[in-house]
Formats: sequence, C-alpha cells, structure tokens
Amino acid sequence: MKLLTHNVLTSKCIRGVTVGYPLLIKATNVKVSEVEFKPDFVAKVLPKIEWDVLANAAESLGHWQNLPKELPNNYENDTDFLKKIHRVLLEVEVIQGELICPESGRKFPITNGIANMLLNEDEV
Amino acid sequence: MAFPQSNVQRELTRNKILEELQIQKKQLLLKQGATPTINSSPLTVSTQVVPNAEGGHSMNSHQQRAALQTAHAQSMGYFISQDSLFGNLILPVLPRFDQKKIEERLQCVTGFDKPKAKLEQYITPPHLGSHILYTIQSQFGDLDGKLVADLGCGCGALSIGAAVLSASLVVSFEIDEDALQIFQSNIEDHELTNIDIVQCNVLTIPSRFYKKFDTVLMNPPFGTKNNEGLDMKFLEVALNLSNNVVYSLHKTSTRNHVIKHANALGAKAEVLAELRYDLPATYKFHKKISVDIEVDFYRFTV
Repeated sequence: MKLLTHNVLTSKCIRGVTVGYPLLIKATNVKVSEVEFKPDFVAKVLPKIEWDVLANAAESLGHWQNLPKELPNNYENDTDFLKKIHRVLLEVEVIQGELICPESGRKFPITNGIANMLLNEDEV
Repeated sequence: MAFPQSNVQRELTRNKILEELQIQKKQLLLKQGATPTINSSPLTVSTQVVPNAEGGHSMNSHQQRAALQTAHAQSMGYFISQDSLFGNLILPVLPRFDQKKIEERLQCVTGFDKPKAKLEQYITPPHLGSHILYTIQSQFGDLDGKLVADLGCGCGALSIGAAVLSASLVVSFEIDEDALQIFQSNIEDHELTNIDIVQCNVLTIPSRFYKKFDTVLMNPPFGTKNNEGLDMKFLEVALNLSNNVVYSLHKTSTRNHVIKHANALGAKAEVLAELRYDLPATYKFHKKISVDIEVDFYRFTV
C-alpha cells in the first residue's frame, strides 16, 4: 500500500462508523521502490492530498525526510521538494502490517503490499 | 570489443523479427482473400450508427469501408473509425509493431487459475486488451502520466498494460483473493512499481476516492446470470471516481440501455469500437468450445 492510496482510504463502510479517517498504520515491513518521477503529476495531485494525514503517515514510517509541517506555496517549480513528495506518495510502500479504524479499532491486514478492506457481512 | 558486436547482432535479430512479422501478415491477408483485415483486426469497425444526439457521420458508404480495408491491408499502421466534422472518418492510430509489444507483455499475464462463475471472471484476451490500451493512449493520451483506477481488475491485464504505458499510478480494486495472488506475481514478473492494489468490493469504494482519478478502466462483470444490473452499478462507481474519462466494455446487445444509463448519470457515452470477444469456454454452462460475444468498447466523458 502506497501513501497516496492511504491518503484516501477510509473504513466508513463499517456499520456505525461515521468518518473512519485517517486510518492508523502499523507497519512491520516497509519498502521503497523506485517509480518514474513526473514533476507535473506530483504538482497536479498535491492539491487533492490531505497534507496532515500524509505527514503523519510518512513520519510514522520514518520517511518524511524533514518536509515542512504545512504545504508551502509556489511548489510547482521546486523540483527538490516535488521529488521528496514523489517519494512519499509513490515510492514508500507498506508491505506487511495493518490499518486500524480510528473509531471502531477494526484492523485491516496488509499482506504482500495489498490492503484487505473486505468486511464480514455482519459488519456492513 | 564485445559490445559493438552485440549491438550489430541485436540489430540483425530485430530486422529478422520485423521481416517475419511482415511475412506472417502477408500470409494472413492471403488466407482471408477478399475481406482483408476487417476480421483479423480485433477492433472490428462498427457498421451500426452509434445513437448520438448530435447525429454525425458513420462508416456507411461502401467507399468508406473499402478505404478502411485498403488502409488496413496496405499499411503497418492501425486504423479505427471516428466521427469527424472534416470527413476524415478513419484515423490512423499506431504502428502495429509497437502495439505488438504491449500484446506480448499481456500474453505473459497469467489468467485465472480456477475462474469463479459467481464473480463472472473472464480474462481479457491479450490482443483485445492491447488494442484497447493502445487506443486509449495513442488517440486520447489518457494513460501516460495519469492517475488510473482499474475496477474489478482480476488478474490485472488492463492494470499491467496501463502501467507499461507509463500511468503515474494505477490503483487496482478487486474482491477476489485468488485473482489478486496471480495479479501480484504478474506484477513481479513485469517488474512494475507503479501499481497499487486494494482488496475490496468495488461497490463500497469510499467516497473519498470520488473524482480523484483521471482515468478509470474496467472490464466489468457483464451483469448476466445471477449478477443482473451489476455492470451498471460498476459504471456508476466508475463515473463517480473519475474526474475525466471512463473506458469500459459492455455487451453490444445492451447498447441503448448503457447509453441511456450513462446520460442519466450526466456522462457522455461514445462507442469507440465494436469488438468480438472470443471467449474460450470457461465454465460448465458453456456448451461450445468458444463463444464469440459482441462487446462495445466505450469512452464515457464525465
């Protein structure tokens, strides 16, 4: 599971859960794999990202690389900054671990990089 | 000195492959006699007029069809029909050789081990998948550098093709664990890092994902057997997820219904091509060795 995906994943589909966001990450295996860097894509996707959620997630995995606590202005042409964000969004990957619903405590396993968000029938 | 030599060798093999392709193509054309490529090309050109509010052109006249056939027979390129105010009804798309490369990649994608009828699991045939993906990229530029979703990805043929064609990230959604295991090993075989998989029910994808994707791809369950209406539910989710376009396959027999449904959801539907889906008998209820199903390849604009 990449952090771009984590930034939009929720556990709202559990019955009784109202927001289910952000999901807590507990990782036992994290990998960084190289993905082609496209600055235009990163600049375009950034406005849609919940910055705080991304920062907390990356920090908990030890991959925030001292990025600022708030999204800076005029980042479009700052290649170094975009490269770091590219790494956080697309290259850092949780291979093993779990996601935890902030409201119900329900755990969703991450196995081989795949987050399993399936629910039992009695949870829906 | 080994280096330049190997380069020469590589050049030679490449020329050989090109030559062989040409020979194969000539043989194919000879076999088919009077109707050259219309049937050998997976993207069979639609002869029907697509219901379209603006009216528009279609490939009706014999002359136009003949021109398309000649183009197919005589060129390395690949052509599809289109509506155009300027009257150029066929559009050259791609050098066949490049498209072959994608097809080769997709041929290495392992399909379902034990397909499940309940989930309507059918593999996307490589020649079909490769043409679809190449059209999406070469004609519309909707893959390279885009955030792409693949709904009900199964073993991931469309996801892998989109990733090979340089999507920034493909997020693939699938409910079935067995399919995902095969998909995962496909990703490893292809050494792709721009795919992320989420195991979930497509119909319960969180609304936070809405409008996040540039392009949504799907080869949805056709909504037959016990899944009636499921294809339209997939389409509704896909249109919600995309901020631009959705590409999908639906049975030709349901065309009016699909277009009406899409319009009701505020999307514009366009049939890009009519395909013949050569489905090898997958399940016990299939009586023949293979069944040809006519399928429309759609582009929905949200």
